[in-house]
Amino acid sequence: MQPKSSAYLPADLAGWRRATDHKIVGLAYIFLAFAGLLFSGIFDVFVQAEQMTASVKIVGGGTFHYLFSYRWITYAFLFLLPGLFAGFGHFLVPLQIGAKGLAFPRLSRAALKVYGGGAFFLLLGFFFAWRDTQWLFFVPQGFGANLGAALLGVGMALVALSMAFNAVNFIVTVNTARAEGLEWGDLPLFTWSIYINAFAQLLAGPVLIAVAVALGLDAAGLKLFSPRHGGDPLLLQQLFWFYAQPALFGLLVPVIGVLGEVISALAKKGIFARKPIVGAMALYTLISFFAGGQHLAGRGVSTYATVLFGALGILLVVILAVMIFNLVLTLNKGAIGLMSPMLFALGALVMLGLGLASGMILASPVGGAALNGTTFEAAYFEAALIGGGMMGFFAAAHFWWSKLFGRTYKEGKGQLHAVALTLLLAASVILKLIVGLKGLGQHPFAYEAGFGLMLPAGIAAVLAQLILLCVSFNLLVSVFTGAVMNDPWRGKTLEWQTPSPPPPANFDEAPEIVAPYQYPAKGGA
Amino acid sequence: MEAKQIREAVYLLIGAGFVAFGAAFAVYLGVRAENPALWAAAAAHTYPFFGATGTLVLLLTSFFLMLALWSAKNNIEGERERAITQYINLAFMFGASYIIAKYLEVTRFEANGLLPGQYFSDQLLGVANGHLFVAAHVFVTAVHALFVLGLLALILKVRKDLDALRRDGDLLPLETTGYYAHFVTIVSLFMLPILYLSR
Repeated sequence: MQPKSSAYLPADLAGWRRATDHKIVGLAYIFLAFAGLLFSGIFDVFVQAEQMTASVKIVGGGTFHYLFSYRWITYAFLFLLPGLFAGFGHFLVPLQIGAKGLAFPRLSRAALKVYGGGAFFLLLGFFFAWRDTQWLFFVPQGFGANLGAALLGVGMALVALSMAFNAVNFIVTVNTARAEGLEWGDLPLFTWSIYINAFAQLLAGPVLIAVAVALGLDAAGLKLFSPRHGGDPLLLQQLFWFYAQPALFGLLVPVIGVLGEVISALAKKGIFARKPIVGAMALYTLISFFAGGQHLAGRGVSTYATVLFGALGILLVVILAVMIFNLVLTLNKGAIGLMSPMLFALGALVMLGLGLASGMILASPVGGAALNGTTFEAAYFEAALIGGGMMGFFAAAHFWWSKLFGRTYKEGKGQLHAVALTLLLAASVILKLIVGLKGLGQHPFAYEAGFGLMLPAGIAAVLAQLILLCVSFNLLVSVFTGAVMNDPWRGKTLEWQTPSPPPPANFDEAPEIVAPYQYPAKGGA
Repeated sequence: MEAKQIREAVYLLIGAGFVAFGAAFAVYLGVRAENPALWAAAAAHTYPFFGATGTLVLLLTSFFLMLALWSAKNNIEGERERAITQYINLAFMFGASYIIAKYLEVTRFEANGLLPGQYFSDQLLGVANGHLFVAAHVFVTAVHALFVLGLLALILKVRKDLDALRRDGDLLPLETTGYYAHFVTIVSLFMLPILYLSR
């Protein structure tokens, strides 16, 4: 049988290059995100293996820190941003608002090309920066001023520029291209999350571009940030965190959007307190612009700033907690189907819960001063961004896969992968939190004996990477061999009113505009 | 694409540009606040003439783009085509002269040994870490110059598409280029006191 996905997919590579259809561009981002996840996974295996024991070492300390940085750079810039924001945002936002496409199709293609350039420079930097680059720009390592660092800066800036273009496209599309009769209050949670996060990408992205210019000047010899030359590395950190808090940590907003869609559809229940969640998303994003300094507690900032940013950090954690509790309450009395997307969503909730608990401690001035720079902080990042972000991405992928390709994956394998991944990631994070409380440093290349829990934590993390390969394989193979599937979840948002995969103009007939998530009461018709 | 969508996109991009300049100014003021002695010594190496000239020519660029739009909307048929072309040419000329002024300013830095190169020394200002002044100054002006180059590209594109403007009466590219020119000029109006006049 001819794959139904041929309905809109280009026949050849030239078709992909010329494509302006939001669905094709979205798929390109999603495929690139899978590639980014693979790169990140390779770096992660080296990092985890190196950290497992105090005595057995595979690479040197400088190389370890470098791999550690690149693991995060590839994860954040080549997986999370293109996957969650650009990929699913491109594919789903027009469908969820009943539009024929994005407002600026050519801008969409241009942004994809800019992203490709950014990814190229980011990866090229790997071959020129064999030193401790420290992507978060923390003191004392700072950012080495060399060719690799400059390439990294250019790469990051281009990715940020691409996301800013996408942000403009998403915002204008939602503002102006909604189907007639679709009111703001009826927008699905995922569209709201992309819309709100778009403001973060748009307003914070140019700051990263300014950082790239500054890094270029630094590399040219002007040493704006080098402490050895009188420069102030804190300035670089503050600028970077002004970007990273809303634009990278802000990606938890689309994660919440995904989880809302998945939980609602698989529990057959409207999202609990949907409009307050939207308000919380907006507030979270707004405060994020002022809360980046919380990551600098104990790293040279004043006591006053530590307390102020700590309070803002706690506020962010509380807002995130409110959103998560609302999602959990959505499950209450729902007809819960434990299918793959739901299991990934529940896994994401577990990881976000761990992130919340550890984030609350780190955001407090005392906790931050004591635990920033320890494995506790590293575990917090892993819980929130890797656990929450990656599980959220795969919840979305499993939920909308049939919408993307008109085919579905092996459900049993998907369920097994979701459970295994949750257990392994949670085990790794919990063990690292414990080790961090005992005082082990954040990037423990070399450490005293007595932190034996790093061994099982590392093994769990490496096994999680192997599971990720299986998850990706299960999904990608199904594009060619999966069973034909149109609407497995009986979803109540507009994208489910069109066939899977959607026709080139998205809707053959104008969609019927109804409020989303109108599921019949449990036990009813 | 509707005009409303394009206008909205331009407003959003300009908003993002303001945030970027907020960051650039924050860097400048942060470095300056930590090095008051350095900035006192560096006062002789800021060139208000170039700062003022740059701001003035950008004001004129914005002004002539506005005149071009006004002509397109109001001039008598037949005369307007020449007027629009002339105003756009003048806008480009003044925009380009900003880049020339910036180039001359940078050559002054270089002549005084303040730019990295053969004769570079961070002690040239007589105060330790003299490069920080140059770095902060060049950082802000380099970011701004990038935006001005973008403006020049937009003006050239508008000029190239003048036939379409005549044929279809589509004034939107000219209008949005004018918005962008105003934004670049407003930033310059902030740069003049912060980078050049405040000593």
